[in-house]
Amino acid sequence: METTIKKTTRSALPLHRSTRNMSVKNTLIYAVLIIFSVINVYPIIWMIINSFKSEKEFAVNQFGLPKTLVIDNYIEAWGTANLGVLFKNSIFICLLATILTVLIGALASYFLARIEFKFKNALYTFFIFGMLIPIHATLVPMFILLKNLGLLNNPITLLFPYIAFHLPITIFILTSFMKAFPKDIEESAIIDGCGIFRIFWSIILPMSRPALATVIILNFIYNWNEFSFALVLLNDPALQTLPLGLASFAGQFTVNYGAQMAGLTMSMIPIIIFYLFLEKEIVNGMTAGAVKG
Amino acid sequence: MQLTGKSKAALIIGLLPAFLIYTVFAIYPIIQSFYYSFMEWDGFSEMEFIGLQNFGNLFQDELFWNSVGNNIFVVIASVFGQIPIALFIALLLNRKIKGLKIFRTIGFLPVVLSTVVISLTWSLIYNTKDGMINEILRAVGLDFLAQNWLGDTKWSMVAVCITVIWQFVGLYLIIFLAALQNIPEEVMEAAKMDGASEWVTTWKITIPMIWDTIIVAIILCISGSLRTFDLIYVMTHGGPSHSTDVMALYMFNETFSNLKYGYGSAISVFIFFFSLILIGIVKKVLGQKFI
Amino acid sequence: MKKLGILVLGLLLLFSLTACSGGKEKASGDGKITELTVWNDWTENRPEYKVYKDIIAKFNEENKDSIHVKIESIPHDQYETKLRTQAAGKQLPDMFRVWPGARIAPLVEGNALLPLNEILDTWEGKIPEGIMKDYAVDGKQYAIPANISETSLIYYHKDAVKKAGFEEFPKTYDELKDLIKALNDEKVTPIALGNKAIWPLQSVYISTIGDRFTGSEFLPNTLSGKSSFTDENFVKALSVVEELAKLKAFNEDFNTIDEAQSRTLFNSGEAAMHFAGSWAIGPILEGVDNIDNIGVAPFPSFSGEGDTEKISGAAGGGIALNAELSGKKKEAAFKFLEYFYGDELYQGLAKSNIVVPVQVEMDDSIPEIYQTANGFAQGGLAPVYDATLTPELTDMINNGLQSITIGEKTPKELAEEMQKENEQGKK
Repeated sequence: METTIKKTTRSALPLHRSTRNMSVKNTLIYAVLIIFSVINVYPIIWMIINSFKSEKEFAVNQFGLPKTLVIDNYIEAWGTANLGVLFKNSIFICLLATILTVLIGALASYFLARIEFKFKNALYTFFIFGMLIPIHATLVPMFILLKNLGLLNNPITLLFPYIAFHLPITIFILTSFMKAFPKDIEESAIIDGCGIFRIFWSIILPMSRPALATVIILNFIYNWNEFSFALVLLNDPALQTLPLGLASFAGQFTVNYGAQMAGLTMSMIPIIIFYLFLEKEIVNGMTAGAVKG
Repeated sequence: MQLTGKSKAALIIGLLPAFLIYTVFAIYPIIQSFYYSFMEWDGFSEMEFIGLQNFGNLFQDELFWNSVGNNIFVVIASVFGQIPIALFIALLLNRKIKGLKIFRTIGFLPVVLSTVVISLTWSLIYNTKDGMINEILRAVGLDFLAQNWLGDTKWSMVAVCITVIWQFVGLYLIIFLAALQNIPEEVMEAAKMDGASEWVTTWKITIPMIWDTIIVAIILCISGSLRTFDLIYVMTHGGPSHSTDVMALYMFNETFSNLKYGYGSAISVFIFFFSLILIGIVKKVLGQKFI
Repeated sequence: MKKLGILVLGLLLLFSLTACSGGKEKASGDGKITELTVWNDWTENRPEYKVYKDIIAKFNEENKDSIHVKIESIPHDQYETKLRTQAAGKQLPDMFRVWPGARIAPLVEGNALLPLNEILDTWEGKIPEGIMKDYAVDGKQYAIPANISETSLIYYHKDAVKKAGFEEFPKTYDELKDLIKALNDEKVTPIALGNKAIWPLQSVYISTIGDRFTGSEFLPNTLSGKSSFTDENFVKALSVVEELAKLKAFNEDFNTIDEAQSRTLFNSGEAAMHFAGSWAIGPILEGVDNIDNIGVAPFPSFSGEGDTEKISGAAGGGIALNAELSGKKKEAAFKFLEYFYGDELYQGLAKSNIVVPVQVEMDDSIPEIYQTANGFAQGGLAPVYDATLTPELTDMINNGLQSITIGEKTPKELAEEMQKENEQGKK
């Protein structure tokens, strides 16, 4: 962060503009950004505030601050939905699926982006087709397939659909990113005596950081919020994931909004932590890009 | 890079895991689903082969075409809403201003939110009686502009689309930012030295340099919008009066509520090829070597 | 990058370890115990679900050497999706909750259910024939009802009705309309309705209104082709919904809020009336401040051809058995059903304010609105539309009624559309 600020001051110097002009412009920019931020952040604040209201208060006062902080919602959410187990399952599946998807996808993207071989374009097209598949159409066939393979109700059941359906977007983003690297990278590496996988691991992967961060975040979010496959493919309560547990708060005849909000607030925390963590990677990627250029 | 004999093995090792898992768990099920589209099947009883009859019925199904129309509306709104807004904000954020990190984090927040929260909050914001929008309109004396946003077929689709745009702007914002930050600083510095105005720099240098990313984003946006399901499912159930029904939702209802597996599968086939054609057209128009 | 990798690996290791240890604990079955899985939608924190679960726990305790019933709960809105996927893969659980009438028909047709006729004696004379038949297809019984869902009751705030000038709750539709107008003049929302999920106007309103206009034989006759949805009386019934919407009888946002949300509107006193089924008794008792102020009434008479006493309702809470059960498992499942649908269940449910199909003793601790509502079931039940119509027709009338309320469709158009589907569906 420090370096960026320094750079800004340096590059701003040669532009002989009046400071007043600059500050009007900056104010405008900040105004736009602040409006954008308020619009974005409002529902989250709304959710957190309402998670502390009793059901009766929620009914009459949806927009104001809670009169008293009710933490019963959190206790109920944690207890009823067995959130502890759900959290554990969700984190396990999300991390494993995300890592595997990105790893397998990055490897495939590397070959698809950097290496000439027969049927390369056909194979790429084949992968990209996956982005057009409406996943709800595959619920029943997927169930039957996993049943025949004896893979239902297993801690790793969800890995298969999650990896398979997110490979296309992963490959799509990574391939387009990797294609943009200058051609002589591998050539000099080969002269240095590096093998293909060595080039992939030590040169291409580090260079792809910003794109990797993007696909990691995307994969994690998709997997974290995925509902339909988790619903259909898992029966054992000990294996279920977070979105399923949260759904059990909202029924046909009664809706316990408070507990639902509390559960949702808690479920949002890991993903925000995960995002903040990766954001650093994106920033690093930025500097890496600057060095490269 | 050209392959030498030895690296053929590397090629297979590198591509096989992705190819296998994708073919078995994504392609095979959808082919299976394509197969059901020639069947009459309620999910319980024996299947019956009926050839193209499902497709014949589909093309005469007014409610289906209604969902296609609505879906195209979502696609257009998403492409022309999400992409420009995301790009604009990304360009503002790329000026290395103070607080960049906070703005970026906040910008991305909606993407990580669960659909349930989004739909609940926005339903309340749109509520006709005491929702935020109508309250504000009434407070400033614009009562006549207050609408039953989600309950009126004239407005429901617009209201839903605004929520869809809101939900995904952050995603493209991050993608654009990652691309913008990858533009070598020297290029921008050089432009500034030459005295080019910011406007010119943006249009002549920045945008062309991330053009590939923009196209990637547009295609992601189209393929995503054509499969929109969750948000509308929770927010309006496709109503009122089918005014917010989209293809994936219609397929889901036909399959699981009306027990028409075969017919539902025919809709999936349609969605698949429809997406393919639409993206093909976009590619032609914008000219990128995609696919 | 490296740090991230190590962190992730560490986490994974941790989780895989805990996952493994969790798995081992569970392996307790030693082969002698017959395990039965029962699927249901008892995910929410509701008293009647606790009754169900407690009885199963007690059953497990009493039979701990031979049978264990495992409860797997799936959120209501997703229950059918899951059940249908599972059925398509021929992987139905041993026992599962089913809904009556048209909703079990496809399961029966697909030979997925085991008839219970050999153990029916247990309930002979206890549960009336007319209620049992909701879970029967072609003379075979597939589940035992635990409760009765009356779908059309009117809950009202006594003071609000009185203030609008009515000493007594309206007995006829014309009086009801006057009441609605009077309430509107007083700036009180007349009826709280949440029709976002589109079933309430059909299940709650049309089931009984339709019956009042057409009589109870109309639906079965029409489905078998003896009469038609374009019948003038049926169109009149649909027109009632149109008229109510035009009278501004509902809260403005009725098409965009849930059924449960509309109930909070009623509970808070913002709306004077709420049309809902017997499932609303519990939430209303819990949600209003002064329960003595709440009255419950049957739908008014519409001077049609139907019986003016009847209200619509259907059996509920049935658990069906997988057709593939045999030998020890089948015996165990029968034993479970005989135990489950016993006096304890019905008494427990009555205490949770659920209307039950058997006679239970009532004392003063039982709230008045429950006793009144329970009494209405004695007049006989009219068919509930979504328990009788095919899924396609249900979907059509659900959507159609919504369209009628916003002026996108006329009652006559909907009736014609339904008749067209009815004729096509039979082909």
